[in-house]
Amino acid sequence: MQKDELDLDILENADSRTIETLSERYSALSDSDVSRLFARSEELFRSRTTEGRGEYSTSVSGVEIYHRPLWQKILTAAASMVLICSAVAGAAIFCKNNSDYRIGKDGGESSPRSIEDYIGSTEEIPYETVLENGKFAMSYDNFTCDSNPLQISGAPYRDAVVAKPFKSVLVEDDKVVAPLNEWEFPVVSGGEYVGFVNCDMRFLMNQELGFWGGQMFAPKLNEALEKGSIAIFTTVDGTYGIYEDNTVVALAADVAYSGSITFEQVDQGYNLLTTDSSSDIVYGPMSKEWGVTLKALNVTPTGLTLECSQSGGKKVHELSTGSYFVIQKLSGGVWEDVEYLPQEYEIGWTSEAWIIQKEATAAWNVEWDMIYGELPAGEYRIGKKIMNLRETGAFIENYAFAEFTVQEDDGSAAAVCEREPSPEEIFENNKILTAEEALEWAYDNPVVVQDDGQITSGRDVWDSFFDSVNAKKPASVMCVYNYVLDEESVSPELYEEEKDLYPQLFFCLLRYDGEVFHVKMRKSDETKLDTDETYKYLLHLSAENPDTALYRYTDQYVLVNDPSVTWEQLQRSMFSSQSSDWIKHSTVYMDMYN
Amino acid sequence: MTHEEFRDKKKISSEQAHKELFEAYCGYVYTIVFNRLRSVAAREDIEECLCDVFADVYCYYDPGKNVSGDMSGFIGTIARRKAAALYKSIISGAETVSIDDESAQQLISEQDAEREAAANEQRRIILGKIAGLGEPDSTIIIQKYYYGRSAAEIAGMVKLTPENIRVRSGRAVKKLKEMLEKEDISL
Repeated sequence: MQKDELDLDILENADSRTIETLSERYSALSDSDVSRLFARSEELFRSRTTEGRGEYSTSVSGVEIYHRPLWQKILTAAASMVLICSAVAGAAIFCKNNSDYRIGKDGGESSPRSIEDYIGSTEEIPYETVLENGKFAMSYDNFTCDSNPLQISGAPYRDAVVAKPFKSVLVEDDKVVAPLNEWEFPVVSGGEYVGFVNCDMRFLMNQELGFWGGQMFAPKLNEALEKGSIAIFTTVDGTYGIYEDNTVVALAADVAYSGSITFEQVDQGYNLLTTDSSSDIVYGPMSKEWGVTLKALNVTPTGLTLECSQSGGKKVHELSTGSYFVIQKLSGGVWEDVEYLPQEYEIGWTSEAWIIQKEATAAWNVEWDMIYGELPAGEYRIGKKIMNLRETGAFIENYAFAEFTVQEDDGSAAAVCEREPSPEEIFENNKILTAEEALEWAYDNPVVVQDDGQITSGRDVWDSFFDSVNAKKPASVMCVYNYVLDEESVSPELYEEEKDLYPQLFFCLLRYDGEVFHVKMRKSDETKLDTDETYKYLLHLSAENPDTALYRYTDQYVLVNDPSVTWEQLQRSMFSSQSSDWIKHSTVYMDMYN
Repeated sequence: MTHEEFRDKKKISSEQAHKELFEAYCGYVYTIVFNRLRSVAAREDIEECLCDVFADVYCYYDPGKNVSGDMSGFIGTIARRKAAALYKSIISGAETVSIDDESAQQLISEQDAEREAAANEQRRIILGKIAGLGEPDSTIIIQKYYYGRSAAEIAGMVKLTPENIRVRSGRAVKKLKEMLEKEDISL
């Protein structure tokens, strides 16, 4: 077996305690697996019950269809839409037949249920907390994503925002019985309601909130609010709105309201929708609020450089973005998605997450010729999803856009994006890479790699640079220095304290302009410069190490301002406790060999 | 979820009750089934067995029965029996095996019991050491080397890139082996 392989067969066929430990500590299934497998289990269940297999007949005989449309309507909607919400994570969409919902009988008689049974938990969760739930973000995504899983008219709505939520009240016998403990978040685009994301706080599933949503009564609500403000209520027949003059409009009901409840009774504040409620936004183009700005540079018909900067902002946690982007064209004053080229296979977006550093700017190239082809001249914008992650599972996602213009193609610029960014561009464009990613990139590019104190790649690159310097020709070179923390060479306390900070990789960009040397360094995963200095000379120093050393020779290139400095002086400078001994220098290349 | 909670929810909506039950116990059932079938069955078969267990639970469950308390014993029993039956059918090549077949229950001798006790102790040490790696490394190790998931799948679980997973898993294995060597366990 190879060194990095591990055989865990011993865990098979284990005792209950081992299984419980495994089950409690490690998630065996992803969310999308759960949705998919639940659907399959229901399918199996239904096939067995409908086939009427003898062994199951006993258990199904006590269940019958019990028509109680009152609160059941609400429950069935919730149940089916929860599944639709889950579908965003990759599972199939279920079309629920309401007739499948049944209420059982106890002792052969239908047992009337109290309203409390339907009200469920009355504990309200602040809607601000709900907004930070990952499932809310997924539900919202139903309105903005390409696949339009809820089949909402006019979707996707890339600019969709969410207005302040309301709650309905339950009305029976012309009385308000209780609040319906469910936040209804209106989704708004262009000032119009286009649907809802609902958060059910009544029946928590595994202590988790239930989310569902859809277009629902959004079109009717738009129509109703043209006449004035309404208070929302729900009865046995559905959901209604009541105006201040006590006239009632059916929003989601098959029959007209026939009771005599008044506006004054219904209006609880939290269920009042005014004509301008849709402008009270609680979740929307948050990327601006988070201080994220996108700028399109070097635009060609097939790509551009996207500059992303973050500055200030509110409620900024960990910001990141992925590889996904969307291009929209301005057409008749409306942003419309540019259609993909016909694809043989579905477009697969890679799953990396790039951290957006606070108070920093990063840039990267975006190419779309494989997806959209060459864009004709026009006004466009590119949209990136920005995620604000507070903690695992608690995040908000939103689009940030950068507008750009594609000029009439004169055929000269398109080639710019066809090549890989040079090492200098990686450095200067503040490309963010983890130490592992940066090391992998460095080995594939003309870069000097110093890994754990030794040059492991790019000696020829360095020699070429040094030749240019000797010939007094301007030149530049990129070096990367990779540092790992060796557990055995530090104290256990220090190791515990530092281990999560490693590996660290530094980019070093050294430029020679024919006269002086400019050196800049930064960590691969930060944009802030660690070093930004100018030196007059580049010294090549060689030393023979003591016999006890691991390597016999050390080869070092050092930037200095005094060409007469010696190896010993530099060593003393580094290790002396006297500040007067310090000689300003920067070691840019060090190799040890036998 | 308790029997009472499931019974109450089932009265309102069967599917909602099933969904909540599934979400509460699918990890537990998958662990049982996977643990039994890991070496002999494909992932698709294991998943089908899991769904089969739940379909049985929904079918067998009698809301009229006056049982109370935690449902894990009831569900775990069905899961173990289903997994054992499938294991036997795969090993023997038989098409079907009754889950009520007594032979599906394994009988173990005294020596086997001693060996099993030692193995259980070793399992506990191994799981303890894996947990000692800390997150996300312990999850990476279990998902990669026990559940056989790809770096891309694990990346989605622990919010790292697949490249990170590959690098971290190599290091974590090395560290784990060193920890286990001190316990005289070699994997």
